[in-house]
Amino acid sequence: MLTIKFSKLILFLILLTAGASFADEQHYVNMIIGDRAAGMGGAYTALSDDPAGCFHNPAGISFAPNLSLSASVNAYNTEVKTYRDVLTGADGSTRDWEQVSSSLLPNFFGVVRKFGDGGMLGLSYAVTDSIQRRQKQYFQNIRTEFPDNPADTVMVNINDNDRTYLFGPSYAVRFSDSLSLGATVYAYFRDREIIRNQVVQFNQGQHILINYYETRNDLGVRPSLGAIWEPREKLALGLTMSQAYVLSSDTTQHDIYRNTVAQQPMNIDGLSYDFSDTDTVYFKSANFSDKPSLPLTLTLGGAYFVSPELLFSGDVSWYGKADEKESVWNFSFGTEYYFRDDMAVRAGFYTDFANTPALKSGAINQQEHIDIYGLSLSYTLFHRLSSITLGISYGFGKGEAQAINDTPVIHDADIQNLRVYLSASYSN
Amino acid sequence: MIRISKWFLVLLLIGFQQVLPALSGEGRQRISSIVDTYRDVENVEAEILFGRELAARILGAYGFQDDERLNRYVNLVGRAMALHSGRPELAYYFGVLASDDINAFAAPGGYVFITRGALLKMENEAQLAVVLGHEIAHITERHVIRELNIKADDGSTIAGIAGLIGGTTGGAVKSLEQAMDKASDILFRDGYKIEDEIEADRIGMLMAASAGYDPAALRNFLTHVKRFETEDGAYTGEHPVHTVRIAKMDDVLAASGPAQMNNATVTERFYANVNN
Repeated sequence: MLTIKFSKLILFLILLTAGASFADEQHYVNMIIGDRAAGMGGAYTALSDDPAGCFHNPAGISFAPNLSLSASVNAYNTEVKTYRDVLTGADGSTRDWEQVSSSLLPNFFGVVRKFGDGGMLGLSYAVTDSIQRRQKQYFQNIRTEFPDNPADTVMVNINDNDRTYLFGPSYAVRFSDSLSLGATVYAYFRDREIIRNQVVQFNQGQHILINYYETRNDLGVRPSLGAIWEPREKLALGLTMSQAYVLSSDTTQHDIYRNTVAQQPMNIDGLSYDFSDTDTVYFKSANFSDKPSLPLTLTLGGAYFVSPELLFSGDVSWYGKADEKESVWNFSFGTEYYFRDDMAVRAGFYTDFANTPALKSGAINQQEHIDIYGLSLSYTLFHRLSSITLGISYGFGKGEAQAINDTPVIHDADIQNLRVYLSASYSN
Repeated sequence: MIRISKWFLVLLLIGFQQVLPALSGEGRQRISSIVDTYRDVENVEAEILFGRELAARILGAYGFQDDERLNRYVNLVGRAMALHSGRPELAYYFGVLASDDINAFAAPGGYVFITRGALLKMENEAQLAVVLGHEIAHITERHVIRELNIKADDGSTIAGIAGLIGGTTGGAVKSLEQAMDKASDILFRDGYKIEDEIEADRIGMLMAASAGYDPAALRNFLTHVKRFETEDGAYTGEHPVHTVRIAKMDDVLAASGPAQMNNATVTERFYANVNN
């Protein structure tokens, strides 16, 4: 992005588009995979006995019936991230800035079937992260550094798309009635496109124009190994280890900038720009191939099968350090209850803690830090060999962020996300 | 980085495996899969094949009552009840056992037997119908099948039962015999679980009401034969807790509409076919 040493006024206006994260890279539990798992808050490592096990714990698929198929018909995700009191109106009142993302997509398909002596083969596709923002925002009569020249209009257009896809085979083997091992090798693909436009129209006729465009493609592999041990008839323990490796990354960025409110030539990237000349425009194009690091993830889970109608499960996950990301722990707990032979409800609780450090006063350009707590609920109706599930999960978190770059101002920030999904399964 | 020999891992795995308890995997199984599996064609075939073998054991143990008229009558009443069983994929067969014990048996897949002794203690057709309905319910609810976890082939306790029936290898024959022994123990010695009996009572009574018979006939019959239980100890295996069952039947009769329907008991036809 632009690395311009502007006055405080100009920074404030420009960096409204730059300071916030493009994708939710500060959290790892952006989308829980699998209908049953999602209903139980993702506490699925010791269960995993259906196609979603390919993602959560490949060892679990060896406990699935002969042939199982599962598909998320559609998952609607919406997230509202609010930065509090970021803007100040001419009358002194403060205004929040919201980033809203919503997407509707099938995020999982998986099939497992018996293969070989005691073996189970799986093939699955999962979308683990999906951000889609399309926003047109207008702010009027915003206070500026010039008391007699407020911004009549600040217009921000956002069009962000950022998705991470996994696709690949799994295989699991039962070494005994109580021990199973499995592995999944996912192809990893991340596709990101960021388009942001901002126009600031000043009361005295000047303007600031910003256009930012970025595309990024990451290709890699995400292997995972899993084990499930059932030391007792009603108890299962699971362990999963996974890490994604980006093998190639290609990023292109385009910046376009023009500022007619600047009262003197500006120095940007070592060059002087005099925007009083109507032909002057700052333009920069850059390409990167730096490969990001992604964290090693270890998850330990337990499940207690109280009866054929009731079970409880819990997971503890550890994500290691990666690039600027801190290591982080997450927890999830879930339960499943059949109140009829053909009807089940599931409920869960999960954490989605930020992989960033808490913000320090006085520092600038710090990543936001918002810890999220979530609840999930789903209802499944079984009919013969198939089932259909309707589920919902809600996450909420409060924290801090610096919505404006190059300033030490820390804003309160909060996130709310909601996911509604419909999925179908078949097992024989 | 820690380097671990793959051979060490293999040895660790083998050693680990040796100390692990053998589990059936039933704990993980959910009620939906338990219920749904029987609807699968292969599992229904396995259920019928297994039930046929078990029916042969029942006949071998008690003998068949060679009375064509009586068997025809029991079959007519039984099939009228089976129409209301809710499992149309099964064909039901009813037979009278040449025994003076007071008992009735159900083998998976649709095989129902009642002893001559039980028939002789009955007072009307409604009692016969509801007793047959009770046995049909053991079949529809798969009490034996569930208890033994019998499926076509899923790695369960008795894996590949369909293959076992026609199996010629020593292992297959032995596994089938073990399964049959367990089923025989349930029928002849240990009885069903009390909750299974109560469930069969409830379904049998509702089935009788649907067929137009008095659902209270089961309660009347059990109360009637309880006197004989104290005399000769019959029913002590299969029907162990009459007091609890009768109390539950009273609950069903009080809560359900059929008790007020004044359904038929059909005494004359019963005595015309069952020679007391």
